[in-house]
Amino acid sequence: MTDAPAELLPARERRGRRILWLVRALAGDPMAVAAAIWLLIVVLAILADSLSLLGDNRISLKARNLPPFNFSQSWTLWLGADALGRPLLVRLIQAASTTIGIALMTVLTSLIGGTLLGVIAAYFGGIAGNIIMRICDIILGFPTLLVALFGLYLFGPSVSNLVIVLAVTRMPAYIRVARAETLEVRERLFVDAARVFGGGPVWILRNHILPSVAPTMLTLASVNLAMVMLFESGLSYLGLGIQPPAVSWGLMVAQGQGYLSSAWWLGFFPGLAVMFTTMSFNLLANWFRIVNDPSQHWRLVSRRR
Amino acid sequence: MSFTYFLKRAAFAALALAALMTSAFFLVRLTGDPVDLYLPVDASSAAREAMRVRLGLDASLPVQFLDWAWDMIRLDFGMSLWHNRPAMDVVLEALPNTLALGAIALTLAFVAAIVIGSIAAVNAGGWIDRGVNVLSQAAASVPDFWLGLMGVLLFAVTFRILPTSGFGGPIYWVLPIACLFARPFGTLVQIVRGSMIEALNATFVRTARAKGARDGRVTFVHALRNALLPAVTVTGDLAAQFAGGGGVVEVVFGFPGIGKLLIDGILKRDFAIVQASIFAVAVVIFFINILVDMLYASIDPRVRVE
Repeated sequence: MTDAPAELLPARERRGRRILWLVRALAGDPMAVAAAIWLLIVVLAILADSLSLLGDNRISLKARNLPPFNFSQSWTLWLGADALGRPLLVRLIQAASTTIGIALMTVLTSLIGGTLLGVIAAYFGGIAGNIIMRICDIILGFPTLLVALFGLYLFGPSVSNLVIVLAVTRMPAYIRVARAETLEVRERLFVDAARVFGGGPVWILRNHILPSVAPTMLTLASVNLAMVMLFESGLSYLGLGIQPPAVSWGLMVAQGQGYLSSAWWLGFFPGLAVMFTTMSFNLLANWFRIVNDPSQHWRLVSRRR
Repeated sequence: MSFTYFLKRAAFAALALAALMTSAFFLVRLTGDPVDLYLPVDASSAAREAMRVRLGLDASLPVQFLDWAWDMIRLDFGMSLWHNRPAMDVVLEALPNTLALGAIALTLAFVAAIVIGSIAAVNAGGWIDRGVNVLSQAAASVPDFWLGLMGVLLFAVTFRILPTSGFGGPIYWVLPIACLFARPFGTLVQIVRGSMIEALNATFVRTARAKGARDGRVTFVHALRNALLPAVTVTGDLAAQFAGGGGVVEVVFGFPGIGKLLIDGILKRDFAIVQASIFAVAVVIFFINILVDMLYASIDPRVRVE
């Protein structure tokens, strides 16, 4: 790096630099590379399935509980088949889109809701702010799984209820962080300046507060993704989450449980998929946190110099 | 810790519990038919009507609320439909099992994480550190119910050295503890490792080295004590999560704890049990939080509990 520092370059070139830097930072963390590759494979598989490139998923009595690693069969059967003879690999991919989709929807809901509520609680304060924070204290006072179970019991299991319940149980964490960040940001000079220039509260929130709070919130969201996935799997395993005929990894483990001694692969592969995906989310979240924290950049790039 | 502080905390915990239960009371009655909480979906309309009368749901909402609140204040959670006994009795039978299970698993995880996390921090960047990193990431990401099933498959079905499920002697505790151990262990190793690296690079450790303290003493006395605080905080949070029962793990092994009781209560529509379990868990969490505060103050004298 002998040329001009990035902030002196025109914007387009600066963005190019940024991407290059991200690639280099990713290469500095081999585990994050592995995680990114795994997630890429999962996403491609989901895409292939949604374009129905994976062949059919029909019930076939001949292939009931077909053992895995039988490479003479068609490639969709390489991971075996389930109790109804459906290829396990295709089922796994269909479950992946449910499991990951729910995790993404949940995190997005709690990210948007939590950030807005937290920013409002901090910027306007007052009674509304106080009520918001007290409700957070109450929800955080109980184990997440307990609140989620209780919510699903009260409202009945369904995809939308699952997303809402999980989002609400995770939201207090976002609200607290967004509030703390906003309280700090709104005392800064540039916010005062914006106010002096006659900016209304909504305009200040959108153009000055939210952009400053966003990186922290995104980091929190990336950490939460893995956690939400584990919760969803647990709830679906218990029969309180995704209901058949829809399929998710947790539900597949539950369905495979009865065949544990005769067809171990039915429960083994979905659980393994949960573990790999959760781990990938965790690793990438870790990497993302370091990328967003300039004081820790040396961890990623120092090895290269 | 002063007595007034204790009272303040207790008052807030009671308030939080009351708020949760009250909002549940109204949510259920305003959004649907509370009989759904007690009876399966396919119950006959005659059975529903009988249940409605039996539960006093034919009264007006304020009357119902006062009735319910009076029961709660007297700690009367009603009869368990499934066990046909007062719900609190059933819950109090399950609670010690859960507490013992959680305490053993967490203690083991805490101790193991401190030892292994410190070793990784001392060798930061080396192959031991990388191995520990992969292992702890995997442990923190594994779904506990799946780990349980695979444990059953390996040790109970294939090798036949451990029971598949049930409750009895110490041998029934091995697999549940192993499953509950994994996630806290993985999380704690990473926290201990991170804070240990920070502590080992701190000036007070350099001072200790300069004064000629031996390596082991520097690592395990000077650095570790300072690196312990984040681990204690996280362990406290984990303990609070565990008080809700090893939830899913208890179900996998048929372990008679509060997590299994609660989940069974939910699946069998036994509202009295659900209500009583939540109350018991809230009380336990209250004491765990107090305990963590005290522990915190005893490790770091700078912290004053107020």
